[in-house]
Amino acid sequence: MPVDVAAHFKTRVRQAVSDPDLADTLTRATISLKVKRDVSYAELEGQRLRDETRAMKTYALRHLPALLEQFERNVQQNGGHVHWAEDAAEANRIIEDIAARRDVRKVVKSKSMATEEIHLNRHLEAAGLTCIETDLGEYIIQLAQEIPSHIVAPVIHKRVRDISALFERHLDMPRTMDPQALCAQARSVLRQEFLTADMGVSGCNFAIADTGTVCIVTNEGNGRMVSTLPRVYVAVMGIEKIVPSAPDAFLQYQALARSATGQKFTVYLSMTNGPRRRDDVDGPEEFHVVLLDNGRSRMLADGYGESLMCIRCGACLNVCPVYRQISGHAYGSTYSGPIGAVISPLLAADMAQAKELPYASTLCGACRDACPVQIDLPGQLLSLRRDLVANRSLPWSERKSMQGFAGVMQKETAYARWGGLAGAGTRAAAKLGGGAIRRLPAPLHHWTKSRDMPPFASQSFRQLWARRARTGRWDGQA
Amino acid sequence: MSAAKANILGRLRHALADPDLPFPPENPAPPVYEDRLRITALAADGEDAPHRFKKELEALHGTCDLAASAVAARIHAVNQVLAWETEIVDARADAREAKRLLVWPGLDDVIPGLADNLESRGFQLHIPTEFAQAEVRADLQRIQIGVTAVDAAFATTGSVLLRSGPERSRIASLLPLHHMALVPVARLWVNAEAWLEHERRQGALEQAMRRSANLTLVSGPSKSADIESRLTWGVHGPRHVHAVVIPA
Repeated sequence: MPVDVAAHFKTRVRQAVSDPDLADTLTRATISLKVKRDVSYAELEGQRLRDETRAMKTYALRHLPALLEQFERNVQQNGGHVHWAEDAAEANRIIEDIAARRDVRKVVKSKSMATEEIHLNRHLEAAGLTCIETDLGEYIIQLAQEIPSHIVAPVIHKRVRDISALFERHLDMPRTMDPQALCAQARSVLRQEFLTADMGVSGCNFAIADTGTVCIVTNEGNGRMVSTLPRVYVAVMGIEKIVPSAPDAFLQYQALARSATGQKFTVYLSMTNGPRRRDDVDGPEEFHVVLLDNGRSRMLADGYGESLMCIRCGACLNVCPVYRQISGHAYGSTYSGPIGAVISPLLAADMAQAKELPYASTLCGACRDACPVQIDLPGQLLSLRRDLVANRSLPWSERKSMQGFAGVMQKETAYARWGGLAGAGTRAAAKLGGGAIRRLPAPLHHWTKSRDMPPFASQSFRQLWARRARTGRWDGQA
Repeated sequence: MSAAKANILGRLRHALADPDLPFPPENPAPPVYEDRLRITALAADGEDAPHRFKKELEALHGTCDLAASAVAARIHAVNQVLAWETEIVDARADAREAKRLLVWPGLDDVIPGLADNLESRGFQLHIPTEFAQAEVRADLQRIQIGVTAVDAAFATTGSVLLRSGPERSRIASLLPLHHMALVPVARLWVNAEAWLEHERRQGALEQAMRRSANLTLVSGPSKSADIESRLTWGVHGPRHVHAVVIPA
C-alpha cells in the first residue's frame, strides 16, 4: 500500500511499516550511501573538513544580511535580476510573472528542494503552464504523481519493476528490468523537452556573494540543460545558500558531494554568472534569482539558526533508524528524515501542521555524527518538543498527564506511593495477559496500541538499595 | 527597495542584533583561505599529474590518452573520433548522413593540424555562432561528437573546467553522446585548490570566476544512481568522455 502523504502522521507511518519491501529497500539503499560517505571521508581528514565547513557556514550566517546585499549587487552587475520573496505565495507569483512577461508555455526543471517546498509546479500548472521535472528520479516521481522520499535520491523507495510499469503506462515502453534501458528512454524523451522549453528552473546548491555566481550540482547534466537551453533561466534559492567567496563554495561543494554520495566531485558543477554575454553562442537571454525566505528569518530569530546551516546532503537520512523504517513519505512534507523533522514544522506557517515530526526520532544522535556541518539535530528536536509544549500545540490531556508525571517525579513520597501502586497493578495485569500487558487503561492505551508493556519488577530499585544498605547484599535474598 | 527585501533583511538584522540569540555566535572567526584550501586538496601521491588525471578519469568511467608528443596527440584524437564514428554509424538509421563534429574554434592551437586532419577524413567541423532558432536546434542536436579545449584540468579528481565564450559553445560538451576534451599539460593542475590558490594570489580569482557567463566543471560522463542505486550512464549529458593530454 503506498503512503498517502495527505493522511494523518500515524496513518502514514502505519501504511509505511505495513509495506513488506519498503524498509528493506530503504535500508539497503541508505546503508550503501552511508558506506560510500564513510569511505570518502576517510580519504582526507574528515573531521577537519566538517569543522571547517561548520566554521564557514557559521561565518556566513552571522554576516547573512550583508552577504545577501553583496550577492544581489553582483548578480545585477553580471546582467541578472534578483527578486526577494517573503513566502511561497510571493515566490510563485514572481516566477509566474516572469513567465507571463516572456510568453513562456513550457518549463523544464532540474531537481530542487526549494521549488518542492513552495509547490511551484502546482502553481504554474494552475496558471496553464506545462512543468517537466528532468532529474531522472524526479521525472519518475512526476509520472507516478508522488513527492520525493529522499533529499538526494527522490525515488529511493521504488523498485525497477515499478518504474518499468510507469514507463509502460506513460511512454508506451515495453517492460524491462534493465535500468540503462529506462535511462536511455528518459534521455530521448526529455531531450526534446529541453530543446523546446521556454524557461528553465533550478534550485541552487550554493551562491557566491563576491561574484554573484549561482552554483548547481548534478550528476546527470539536467542542471546544465535547464541553465543553458531555454530563453529564460530562473534559480530559486533559500537565503541561507550564500557563501562569501569561491574557496568557500568549493569547500561546501566537497562537503556536499562526499556526504551525499561519497563522490569527491559530482559529474557537473554548473556556475552561472548572469545571462549569456553579447557574443556567446548559447545560454539564456534572461537570468533571474529568487531569494526565498519562507520562514527562514523566523527560524533564526526563534533560536533555530543552527539548522539554517544545512547543506541538504541527506547524510542524516541515511543513518537514521526511524527514516529507514518509515520512509520519506511518512514525514508528509518536502523535507524528510532528521533535518526534515526539525525544519518542516519551522518552515510551516503554523508549527502545529507538522507537530508530530519532532517526535519521529529516537534521539540516538547518529544524524549529528553524520552531519557535515555538525548540526546538533537531537538538541534541535528537543528544543522543538519544548516549544511545542509551551505553545500548547499538544492536546490538553497530554499536557495534563505530563504535568502530573513531573509532579510525581519531583516528590519522593509521591514517587514511592505511585511506584508501589504501578508495580502491583502491572504485575496483576500481566498475569492476566500471559506475562505482558496487552492494553493499558485510557489514556495510556495509546502506548500499548503498537507494543506490549512489561510488568514492573517485584522489587523496586529503591527497595533493593535500602536492603543493600541494611544487609550489604544485592540479590534480594535476605 | 522592495517591501520583501526590506522585511527579510530587517528580520535578519533584528534577530542577529539580539544578544541572547543562541546561534550563530557573535564573532565567528573569519576564514583563512590558505588553510581552508588545504583541507580538501588531495595530493598526487608521488604520481605525476597526467598519470593521476588519467587514473581518476578512468575510475569515473571516462577514458584518457597521455600523448608523448603533439603528433602523437593528433593521432590519438583522430583515432578516438574515428572509433566513435564507427559506433555512431552502426546506430544511425541513415548511413549516408554527413560525418559532423560540434567543436570549439582553435583546435589547431592545441593540437597542430588536428582540424585539417579531421576534415581530410571527411568530417565537417561545426562551430555554431547561435543556438536560438528552432531549425538550428533541430539540426545541431543530431551531431553525436563534440570536441572542446579546456580552461583548466584537475588531476586528483579527473576534472575539466570549461568556460563559455564567443564560438565556445556550451552545447559542444553537453548535447552529443561523446565529448572529447583537449588538455594541454600546462593547464593541468594537481587539484582545483591549487588553481584557486594561484588565481587568488594573483588577485584574479573573482575575475576568473565571473568573466564568462558560465563555468562548468566536468568530472567524467553523465550518470545517475536514481534507479535502485544502480549506475546508469549518459542520462542527459555525454555518455563517453575522453581526454587527450598534450605535452608542452
